[in-house]
This record gives sequence, structure tokens and C-alpha cells, in this order.
Amino acid sequence: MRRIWGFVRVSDRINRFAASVLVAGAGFALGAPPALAEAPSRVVSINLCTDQLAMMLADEGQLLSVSRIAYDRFSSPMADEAENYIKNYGQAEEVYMLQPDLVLAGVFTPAHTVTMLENLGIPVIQFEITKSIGGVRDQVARMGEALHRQDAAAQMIADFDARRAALEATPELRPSAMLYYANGYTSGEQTLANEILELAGFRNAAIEAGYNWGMKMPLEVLALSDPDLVITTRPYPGGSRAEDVMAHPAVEALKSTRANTAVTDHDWICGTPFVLRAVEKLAQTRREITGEAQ
Amino acid sequence: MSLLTLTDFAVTLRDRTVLRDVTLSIGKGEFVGLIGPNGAGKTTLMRAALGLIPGTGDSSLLALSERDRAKAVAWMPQAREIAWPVSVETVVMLGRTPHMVGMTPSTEDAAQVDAALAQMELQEFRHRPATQLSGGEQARVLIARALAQDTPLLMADEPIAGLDPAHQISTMRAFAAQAEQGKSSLVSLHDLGLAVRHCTRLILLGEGRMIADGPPAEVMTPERLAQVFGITAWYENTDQGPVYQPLEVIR
Amino acid sequence: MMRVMLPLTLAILVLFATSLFIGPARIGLGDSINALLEGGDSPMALVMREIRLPRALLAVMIGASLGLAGAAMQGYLRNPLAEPGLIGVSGSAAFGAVLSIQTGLAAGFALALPFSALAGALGGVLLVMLLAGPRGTSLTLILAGIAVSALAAALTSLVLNLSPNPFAASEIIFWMMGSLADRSMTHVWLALPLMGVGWLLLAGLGKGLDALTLGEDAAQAMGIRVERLRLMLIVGVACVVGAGTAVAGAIGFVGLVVPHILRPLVGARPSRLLWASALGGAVMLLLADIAVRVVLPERDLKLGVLTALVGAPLFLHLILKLRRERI
Repeated sequence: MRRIWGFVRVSDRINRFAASVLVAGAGFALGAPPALAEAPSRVVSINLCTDQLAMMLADEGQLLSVSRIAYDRFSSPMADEAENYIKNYGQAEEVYMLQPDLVLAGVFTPAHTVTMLENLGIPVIQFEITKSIGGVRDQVARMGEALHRQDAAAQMIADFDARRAALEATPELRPSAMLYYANGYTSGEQTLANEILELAGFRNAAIEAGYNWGMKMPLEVLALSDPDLVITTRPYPGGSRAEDVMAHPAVEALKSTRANTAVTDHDWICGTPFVLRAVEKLAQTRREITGEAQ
Repeated sequence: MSLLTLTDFAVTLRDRTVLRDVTLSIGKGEFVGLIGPNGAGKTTLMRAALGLIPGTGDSSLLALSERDRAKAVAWMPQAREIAWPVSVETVVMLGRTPHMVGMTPSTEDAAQVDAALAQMELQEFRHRPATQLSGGEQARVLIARALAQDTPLLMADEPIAGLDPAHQISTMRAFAAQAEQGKSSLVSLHDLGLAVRHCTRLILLGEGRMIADGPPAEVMTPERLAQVFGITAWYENTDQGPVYQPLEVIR
Repeated sequence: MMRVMLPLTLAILVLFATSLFIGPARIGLGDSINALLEGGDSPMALVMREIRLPRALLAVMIGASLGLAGAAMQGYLRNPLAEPGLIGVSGSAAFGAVLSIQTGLAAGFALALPFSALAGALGGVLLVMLLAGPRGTSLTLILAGIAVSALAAALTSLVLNLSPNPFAASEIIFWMMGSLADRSMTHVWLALPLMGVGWLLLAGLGKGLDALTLGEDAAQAMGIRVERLRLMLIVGVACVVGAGTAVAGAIGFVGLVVPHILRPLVGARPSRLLWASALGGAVMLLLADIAVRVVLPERDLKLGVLTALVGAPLFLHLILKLRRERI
């Protein structure tokens, strides 16, 4: 008898969540976060970028778990923070066992994982890729809505705007820069990396060569464009042939004939307020190149 | 001068003694037929004497280096393999491999090849891919290769099997002609009639040893036939030479 | 013989030059020649010397190696279906290379990478020879090749999957299909020593392979040391394929197609086919590498895709022909 009673309770809960999932689905389609009746108290994040934002905005005890990438010093600016949370590997089954009332994911989280979680009655909110510095504000706002922490979000946005205003300067000289990643990819127009670059006072030579979004750029184009600064990424541990191209003699030659080098790091990856730190570092490099540095 | 001497030669394959106590010597100008029932060890004896499989006892060929051995004896295996569609001339030229330095044939090499082609009547096939010839013609090509190797001794494993009567006879004649020139041949055969007609000497293998060695008339006695082959035969010296025909199986 | 070698050599020269002048960067013919000759650090010189030159050199080196290895294997096994890619040698070499990269061995000392690929290739060849026997029939050879290829591919996938590096998992495509994109002169120097050893070993096999036309027994009786020939073949192929795979991934079908096409032109003689296939292999790979840059430049087409598109139909034709003959 008790067991049946237990089942009845669970099926009640499922019905309630099914309703909110339907609402959530409708809300997601409209682009607004689902209107959960109460603030979520057991939040699990399975995406690096939602990990960061959730860690920054969540209330005491609201956030349960973040993805394993959040622990990686290489990719996560908040790797130390992440130690306070349970580590998850983004698999539907383990997430379900944590009994969350909200899951935060990205648009590139595998669809079957998202579907599985929704079928299990767990609302999932997916966050888009951030494509601009302005977009960071939207992400913060959205996360605030999702966690019912709108006030904290508003404060963060205000700080963000202030720091950004301080950085906006129109330098006289705009040296050229090019981003060159593993497999020869570059970031052109309408990418976050490009906005960081431009806000720091560079012009993106890849755009001038006709590259938008994230596209593969032939090594020859990089060599012939001869930019003032070549920005690569730091290679991951464990070798990979994809990253070898960043160590190609042609790239090395370009980097060695210039006094300055720059490397993207964990601040560049996600649309969080950390991007301003990236801008500040890059702006310093720009000042050294143009000779404005003290 | 002996071209091949075997002393107390024995061969063991897979823990089974195939042959033992084989002692023989082949001199110049001999056409020796190696006969015996299936499984008697004819192929095994020849391959062991050449050093292709291990044997115990003495073989005069094994005392030579591989290079010298190749100049002392030409070997025609039973499997008539021509792996690629090369020209007949190329196949015959392969016989000059032990003599050639580098990859270009000398005038001596070319002359030997010409002679071999002429002897086996293959001139018209000279430039044809060897794999396009009939079985009998291919057999003649391989014999020409062995002849071109220009060795004092030629050893062949059933070289006339599957040839038509005309080619069987002309091939046996070719070996006999070699003997007349002072070169020797050791040839394993199943056709006892041809062996008797053309060979100067027969070696009979059976029961794991050498049973007889001598001129055909001495070797081919009815008792031996019954004992080793299990057959009866008709043998007569006619004015057209010796004629030999197996008749019945004795069981 | 000359009527084959001369046109092939000319083709190599022409295609080598063409390869130097094709690329996404628009550089005029005169400018490219100047940039190449005068050197220096100008962007154009950098492109010519560090990007285009190694690519063209590697196409010649690896193409020649694959053609030579294919002709040598077919000559020894007396089987027109044998080639290092088909019997899993390339795949095993790739496994060795991947293992050395992922365990950090390759970063230890420079030549660790090609040597690891060599070890993998040796293992692969030996395994196939063991399974099929030195005189393997077509069927046993193909089966052994499938088994070793599959095993090597699976192990390579496994190692890449277990890598801490997020890019590693998708690298399997490079290793299985091959590419010469973004290679540098470092790769040329890395591959050259082992390839040189392999070329020397394989080039000396001509006389023996010719004699093997009559079978192993007859060849041995003519003074050819068949055991030694087999050893030189195995080590030579492993060196050559190992070095090439270490820097460019596994490129299949070159060693199969080139000897097949050139065999009638050299009178089917294995010794002549060795040289012709080396030249022909260089031509084929240069052509493939040029096609990859001309046909779909933005798409990063893999070399192995093109060689497979040419090679697979030919392979099928060969199998059907053999089936008809063997019935």
C-alpha cells in the first residue's frame, strides 16, 4: 500500500512537470525562459558557458552541479569555483539521478540528451552561442530570468556596461590582427572573438580577406595577409594534429618577426563578463604594438 | 667427373623418414630417369639434394655456394608457374639469372637464349606473353629456360606430365640430346614406356629407399614391377627400340 | 623501358611545377618563381618555401614510395591485389603514429613519430604474412588484409577517443584518408631518412622478383635467397609506408592502381615495374593533390577520397577478372 501511495505521489509530480514542460516548450519557442511557478532550487548545468553564468548568478544552494569542463583550468575561468559543486558528465541518466528541477544546456548539447531529459519530465533551458559583446548582457539577463535572480543579473549588467564604457576608446592607430585556431579556423564577422578583437582596438584582417563567422582559412592567406598580430590558442594537453598547424613554420615565422604575441584563453570562450578581461589584456598588447604603452 | 653425388642420403619430413641410405653418383653424359610409385619420394629426393629442404648425409651440391650451385644444376619444379604475362623470351632469359651481372643481358646470355628457343622450337612464340600459350607450349618454354641456364646437370620433376605424345617424345629427345653433348639430366617420370625408351639409366625408388640403379633392362624386371608398382607389364626389345607397356594391376 | 620512364619523369617535373603554383593565395607565376629562388622572409617567399614546396616534395616522395612498395609486394606475393593499403600496412602505421603522438612519445624526440609508424607497419605486415602465408591465395590475402585493417582502425579510433584533447576524436579522418595540407619542411626531413632506407632496400629486389616469376622453388634453385628477399621486402615496405603515413596519414590504392596500369607497358617484368611504379606513383599523388586543391578548395577534400574514387572501381574490376580466371 505504501509503495502504491509513493507511486501516486511521483506520478503527481510528473504530471505537474509535464504541464510546466509544455509551458516551458511554448515559452522556449517564443524565446522567453519558462515561467516556473517558484524559483528552481536544484539546478544542474551541463554546458561550459551556462556553468559560468550559473555560478556567477545562482543563490546559495541553488546550483547543484556543473559540467566537468568547468573544472578544466584550460577552458574555464571559474575552475576553482567549480570545486564547490558536483561534477557531471552531461549524460541524461546521471543528471536525472540528481533530481534537478531545472537543467541548463547549450544549443549544441546533443539533441537526444535534451529530449531524453524532457521526456523524463525535467525542464531544460538552452542558451545560444554568444555572438557579440552586447549579447553578453542578453545572456546574463536570460540566466537571471531562469534562476529567478533578476536583481543580481541587473547588477551584473550594470557593472558590465560601466567597464565596457571605460574600454570604448577610438584609438588613432588600428593595427591588424588575425585569429588562427586549430584546423586553420578563424573568426570573422559576427563572432564574439571578433568583437573582443575590435573592442581592443584592432582591425580583423580576416574580415578584410572575406571571412565571416568561423571559417577555415588557408595558411597561405594568413601568410600573405601579414597581420601585425597573430592570435592563436594554447594547445590542449595530449597531442592533436589539428593544433599542429598553429605551430607550422609559416605561422612561427609570422609570430617571431613580431615583438608581440597573443593567445586566447578561457576568457574568450563564453559570453560572460570575463570577455572584458580578455579585451583589457588584448588592448594592452595593442598599446605595446602602437607604442602607446607607458 | 661426377655432377651429383649422394652418400648415405636420408630425408625426414614431419617425423617420418621418407628416404634413407640413398647413395648414387651421376656422371657426364647420362640421361637418368627417376621412377617409383606415388609417394616414393622422387620429388623429396631431388629437392633435398638441391638443398631446398633439409636432408642428412652428403650431397655434393650442398658443398657449393648457392651461386655456384645455380651454375651447376638447373631445377624445373613440378608446379609450372609463370606468374606474370611476360614474353617467352623473358622467361627463357630468366634462366640466365645466375650468370647475369646486373640487369642487362650480355651477348653470351642472348646467344644461350637463342639456342634454347631454337632447340625447343619456340622461335615463333618469342615475343608472345608466355601465359597465353597452351599447357604443352608453356612446358616447353620452361624447359627452354632450364636449357638456357647452361648447366652441366639438369634436374626436372615430371616435365612431360600432361603433354601430348609428340611433345612428350620430342622433350625426351631433347634431354637425350643433352646427354650426347656431355650434359646430364635427372628427370622424374611416371611414364615407364618413355623412361625405358629414352633414358640411359634408371633409378627406382620405393619402400623408403633406392631399390635399383642401372640400365633400364636390368632395373625393370617383372619381380621388381610386382613388388614396387604392383603391376604386370609387357617388355620387348623390338627393332624400333625397347617397348614397354604396363598391363594389369596385381592385388 | 625508356619509352615509359621518360614520359613519366617529364610528367613529374610538369606536375611538380604546377603544384608549386596552385594554392588559395593568388600569386602570379613570375612572382612565385622569384619568391622561391630569392628566399628571404617576405610573405610570398614564406608561402612558397614553407607551404607549397614541402607539399609538392611530399607528394613526390610519398607517391613514389607507395608505388614502389605496391609493385614490390605484388611481385613477391605474385598477386596483383597486394598493396600496403589493402593489406592493412598503412592502417597499422597510422596506429603506431597516433599512439606515439597520444602517449607524448612523439614530443620526446623528433624521429620518434616516423619510427613508431615504422613499428606499427612492421607489426601489420608481419601479421598479414603470418595469416595469409607467403604464398597466400587472393582470398586469404584479402581476408587477412581486412582483418588487420579493421583491427588497426579500431585501435586507432580507441586511442583517439581516449585522448584528453578534444580535437583528437575527429582526427581519425585524417589518419584513415590522408592529407598533405599544411605540411611543412619539418615533415619532409622527418620522413626522408626512413624513406631513403626503404627505397634502398626495395630497389635491390628487382632481380629476385623477376626470378620469382617462376615460383619460389625455381627462384631459390637459381641462387636467389628467397628468405632474405622476403625480409628486405617487409622491412623496406614498413620503412617506406611508415614514414609516409607518419606525416600524411594512410593513402590507399596508389600502390594498387599504378602497377596495374603500368604493368602492360613494361612487359609485366617485376624489376622494371619497380621503377615505373615509383615514377607513376609520384605522378598519381601529384595529380591527386592538385585535384584536391582545384576541385573543391574550400572543402578540404582528403587525398584518400580521390585515390579511393579511382582505385575502388579498379579494385573491383581486378577481383572480377581474377574470379573469372580462377573458375
